[in-house]
Amino acid sequence: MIFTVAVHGAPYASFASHHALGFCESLLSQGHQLHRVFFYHEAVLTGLNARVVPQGEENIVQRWLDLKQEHTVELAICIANALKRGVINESEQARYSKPAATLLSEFELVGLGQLIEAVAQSDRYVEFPA
Amino acid sequence: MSLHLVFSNTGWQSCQGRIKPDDGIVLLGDGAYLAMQLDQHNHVFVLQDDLEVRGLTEKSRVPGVSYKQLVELTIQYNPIVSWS
Amino acid sequence: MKKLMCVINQPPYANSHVLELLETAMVAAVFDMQVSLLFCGEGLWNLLQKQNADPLGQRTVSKVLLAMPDYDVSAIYVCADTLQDKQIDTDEFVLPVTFLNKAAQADLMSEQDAVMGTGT
Repeated sequence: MIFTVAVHGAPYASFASHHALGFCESLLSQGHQLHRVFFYHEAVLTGLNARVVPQGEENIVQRWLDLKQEHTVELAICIANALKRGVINESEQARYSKPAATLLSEFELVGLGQLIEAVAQSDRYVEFPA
Repeated sequence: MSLHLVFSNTGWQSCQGRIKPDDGIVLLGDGAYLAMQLDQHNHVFVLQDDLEVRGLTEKSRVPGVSYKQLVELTIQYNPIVSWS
Repeated sequence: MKKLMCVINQPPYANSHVLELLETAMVAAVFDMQVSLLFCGEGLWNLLQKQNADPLGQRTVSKVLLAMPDYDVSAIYVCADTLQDKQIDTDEFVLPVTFLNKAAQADLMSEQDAVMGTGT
């Protein structure tokens, strides 16, 4: 079965990523497909490249990167939500003349159309709220 | 048949009256506290991890499920409606 | 054609949640999904006329709602139970809506392929 998962909570402010990762890791280990993970609202901060993980806390973003490496999952960040929160890749940095790119290279900035396309292509859409 | 994922007490209030008799319910996050007070119901589950995190394992009145079982429930039902 | 329901249960100017959800609804309609909106709880305040978000420097939600029928989002439902609690005069709504009680909402929800907006 094909799944699309949406995450709505920022990594340090909510456990949305924990639930979503537990769910994604499990569905992939059961042989299902994960069409796309879509980070929306505050969850776009998951893609920040400058986070420092407090000592004793799990690096939850690393688990997303491991998931991507192991299963070639697309980690998609809503571009409209990302830009207004300062989450930009190199091409957006150049376009808006900002001092630094702030997005991890494993994440992609995509439009809302990619969320809808994913829902259209998937058998199940599961949302993890903030 | 919908599967309602309930992440909080506020989410629980919002979904009241919007659950059909055959729908499934899974309590997650702080929704796990509801596992102590809900009446026995055929289709109510709680994420075992969230019970354990909160020290509720022995107090829960509904069966705990793993992530594997959660995935199976999302296959059994559709759509999946997340309430918080 | 997939069916998508967007549930709007937050007031218009608490945060950007409603505008972002309405954007999603419009994109889904452009992608030929069958999109419906359900307003319930505090979400009913989105439907009031005479909103003006200029002082907040953001778009006025009621004006965005007025554009919904242009995007073929014309299935607009309002929770009848909430309406009773809030004592809003339906003449004040910006759009024609259909009233549903909670049981009918549950029926409609279970017919969808995806439901968005019920979480924050």
